[in-house]
Amino acid sequence: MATHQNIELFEQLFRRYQPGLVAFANTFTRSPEDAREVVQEVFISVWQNVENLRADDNLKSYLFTATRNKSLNFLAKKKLQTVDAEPVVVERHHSTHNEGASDAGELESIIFDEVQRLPEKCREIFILSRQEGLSYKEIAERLDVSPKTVENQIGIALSRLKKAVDDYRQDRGKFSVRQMMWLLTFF
Amino acid sequence: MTEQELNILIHKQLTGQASPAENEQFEAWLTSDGANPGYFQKMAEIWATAENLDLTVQPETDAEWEKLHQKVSTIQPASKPSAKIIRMGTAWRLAAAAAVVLGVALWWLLGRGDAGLIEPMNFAAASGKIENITLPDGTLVALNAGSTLEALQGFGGDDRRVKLSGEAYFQVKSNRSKPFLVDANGATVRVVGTEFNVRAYPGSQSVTASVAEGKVEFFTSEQNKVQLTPGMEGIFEKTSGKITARQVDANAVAAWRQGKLVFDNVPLVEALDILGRHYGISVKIEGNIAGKQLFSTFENETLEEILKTLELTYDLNLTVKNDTLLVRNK
Repeated sequence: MATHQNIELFEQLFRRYQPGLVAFANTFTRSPEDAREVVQEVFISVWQNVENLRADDNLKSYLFTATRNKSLNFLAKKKLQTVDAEPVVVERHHSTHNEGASDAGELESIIFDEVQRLPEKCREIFILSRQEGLSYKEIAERLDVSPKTVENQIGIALSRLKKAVDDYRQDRGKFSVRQMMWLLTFF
Repeated sequence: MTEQELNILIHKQLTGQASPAENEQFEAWLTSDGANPGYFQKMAEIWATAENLDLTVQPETDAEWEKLHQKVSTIQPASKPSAKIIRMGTAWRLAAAAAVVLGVALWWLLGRGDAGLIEPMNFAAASGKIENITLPDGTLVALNAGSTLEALQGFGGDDRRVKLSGEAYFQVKSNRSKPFLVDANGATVRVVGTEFNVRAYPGSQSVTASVAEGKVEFFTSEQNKVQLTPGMEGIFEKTSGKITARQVDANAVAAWRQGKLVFDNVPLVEALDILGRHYGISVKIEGNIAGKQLFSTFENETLEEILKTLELTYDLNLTVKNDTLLVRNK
């Protein structure tokens, strides 16, 4: 029997969140290939368990939490298979990303997700400033744009990041698991 | 100070790139409102968090979706909704109903803006760039350099409402039951489906709406309103609050979409502002240029050539240094 779930909406959901989740999973797995695999599992379990999810959870938060848990499971399994693997990794991430002290981890994932979604040039400029510590002038020279453009793009990036964080914290316009379930099963 | 400018000022603090003047400006801002230290702290937190993100990972979304699609098409949901056998005769009716419901669902997703599946509907055109946008209702918008457009209430209500800062040309998809409204710096444009241009730069003394096709209402209130037809332009003077109408060259109004700069009786102060946005430079006026109006069209000229023309016309000294155009009397 054909499934009653809406594959187009599921695809939209996947395309919207997969890049951010892969990058997030990679902070645990330290291997993009494994990270992509973990995210596959996350979406398969969403598809399979749509009706059993905790309906009032925020969708974004649900996906990130599921990705974190699946990543940790993945690492634990891997550790069983190869006893020599660095055992520290799991421990350390457990302590920085556990449920109670989750705000730092969640904040990281929200920022992560939004940085991934910045327009390409804007993202590139933001990363050169933040992660490579280059000055406006150095970025301008490297990308062959004016320093003013660099400043403006940084301003845009910061506005978008702040908005993403505010929206997340203020529970504004968020999409819950219940709403996703409704969409995926209604059709 | 716009949010954009403020964020740049904060970024300069966070990266130690502020000049002494900018340091002062920052201090003044920080102490001018009780909420400002909190704003700064939030930015600092975001900045600190962003440091350790590994952003080099390739998600390979297309290939991954192919994989996932194959997997899920062989999987049954764990608990599935009750299946009903549908007779072929009623299938088309159900298909039609499903299309309506899907439409409603997409409207609902779009209407929620930040809901997650769809990008929030904020658009910005960088300096020197024109952005072409298609809104969810099919309306086409060309957004001029340095302008921003926000789709309010995500088009979910009784009308389609956008907020414009800067200049944009609208080709509104006709929908009689859902008027399209542009909030533009204190004045509003209302249409059902037509083509028009709105110029509403925050630094400008006026907001103008010019019509290429159809009928447009331009107003601040029901008492202060003009009806515009093709070839007409409504002008809202911000200081007096008055709205008037005049005839204009309809082709000239939207010539910016082809990269032309058309100034038809525009105050020089505003023309310089528009030039600045077009070329991505800031403008600093030290001389007195009040009362000067510009009538000129520039098409393929370089910035240097345009400045030369203005210098000769108005007896000014115009120099560009560090992305800033300095305007002085001779």
